[in-house]
Amino acid sequence: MIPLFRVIKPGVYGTIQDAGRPGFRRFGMPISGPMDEQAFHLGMKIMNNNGKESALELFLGGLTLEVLSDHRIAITGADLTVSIDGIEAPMWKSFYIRKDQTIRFTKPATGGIAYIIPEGGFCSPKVLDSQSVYPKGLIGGPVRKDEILYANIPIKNRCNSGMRVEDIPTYSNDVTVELWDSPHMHLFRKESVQTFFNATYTMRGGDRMGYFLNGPALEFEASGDIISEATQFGTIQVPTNGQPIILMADAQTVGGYATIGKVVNKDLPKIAQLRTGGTIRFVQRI
Amino acid sequence: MMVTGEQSIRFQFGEAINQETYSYVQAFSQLIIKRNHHLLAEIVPSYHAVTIYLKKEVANSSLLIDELLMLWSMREVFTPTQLTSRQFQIPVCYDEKFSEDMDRIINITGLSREEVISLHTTTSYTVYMIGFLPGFPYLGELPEALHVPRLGKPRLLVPKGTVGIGGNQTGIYPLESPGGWNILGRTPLDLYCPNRKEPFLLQAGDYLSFVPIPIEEYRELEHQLAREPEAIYDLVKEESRCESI
Repeated sequence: MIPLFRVIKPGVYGTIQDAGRPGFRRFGMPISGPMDEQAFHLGMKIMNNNGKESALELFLGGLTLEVLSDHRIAITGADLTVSIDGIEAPMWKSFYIRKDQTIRFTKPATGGIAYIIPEGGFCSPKVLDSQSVYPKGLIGGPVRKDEILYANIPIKNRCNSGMRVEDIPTYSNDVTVELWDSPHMHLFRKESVQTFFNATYTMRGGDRMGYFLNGPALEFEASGDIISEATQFGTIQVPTNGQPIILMADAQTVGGYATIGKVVNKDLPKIAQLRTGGTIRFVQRI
Repeated sequence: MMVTGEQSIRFQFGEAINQETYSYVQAFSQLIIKRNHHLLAEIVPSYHAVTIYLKKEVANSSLLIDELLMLWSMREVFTPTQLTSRQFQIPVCYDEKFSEDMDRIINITGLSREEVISLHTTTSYTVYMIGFLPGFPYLGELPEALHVPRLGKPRLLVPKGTVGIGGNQTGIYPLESPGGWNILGRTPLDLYCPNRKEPFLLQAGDYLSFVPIPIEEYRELEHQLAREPEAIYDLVKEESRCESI
């Protein structure tokens, strides 16, 4: 256990996340894990980690970290304008950090969520075999001022690695995503479903549990209440006001609202990286 | 049956909430767990459906689906017709201190306080599913005489352990949470405790009933469980009960 960072400023919302906590969904326990699995796993690969380690997931910026030990990290995901002692920090490649340096995340240039991944991951308590923080279930909380974050292992002398520029994901605030069909399609008015697939919806906020959208309200034939059943990361729920909610990494395991589809896995990072005001168009999965 | 995602398949067993549909849900869940297919990650049973989640994306899930449907059609051959369930007795204190909405319930139902408690505690409830919060049981069926509309405006904070009724449902809040049910009492038991050996007290398919306890006993149990959280299983007097499908 190596003291790695002291949190000088906690930023918007930073939590330790590993690949997630599967296996307990029938007890109401969400999977959690990274909002953007692509950025998370690419970062793990860059660090030569095996993918079971944890990262610090940060929304939007505002985080300042003091480096407590020489180490090696990578930063992936959104470009949150990161600097180290005032000099622009590299992204999508591993690099050395030195004791007493200051890492500062300012504000998003592209995307909304970044990952800070040390060699060997962070050291934090495991609950139900996972380090993923899930405050609602009394499992940890967001990083706080003056908190010390620990690395699992000391620095190893390895060569740094990174990604070819053309392989680095890019993020847009206007996205089109494909959907799986929902078993509740018949509950919606036909014209309404057509409108849904022709319209543009605006992301009006949200958190790790779900993103709220704004756009043409969906209308039901009779009622949008269903007998509660399983929901997952990517499920689009439609409550009575007709405005869709996309369930995210901390998705509740069951829900009682009609759903209009599930975002295909490969498009989930696009959604996760949207910021408030970003737009989404939906197309049916071919 | 419907494929609802890269790694999820949904099986539906009826159109309404009832015991027959639910017995299929339970039988199918037990069959899936027993089959223990290498692709299977976990299942989420609910009132009328079972969703199975796979460990990875499979290019073509129809082989797996065919196998499961064949097993299901021949279930009488392969699986016993007896399902075992667990029976729990949950101590609940209905003291005034914990039954904030008792007057509202009395007014709407026309029952006396004693009748409300007696009806609530003499009924055996099925745990249809767990969700909404970790460990939150969806229970059925509440006696009709106790059907009371949910509060017009949900409370921002319902304390952990609160036992409530709303519409045709009754349930227990495993965590402090916002909620719109009528508050009837409180249990000292933690339905969910992340650091306990078994974090979740209940699972779908269990049966439970409520046992009224005085406030002194509530306090005692509260203290005892704070000292030794693992003692919970000795307190709820678990027994098995078999039933045929």
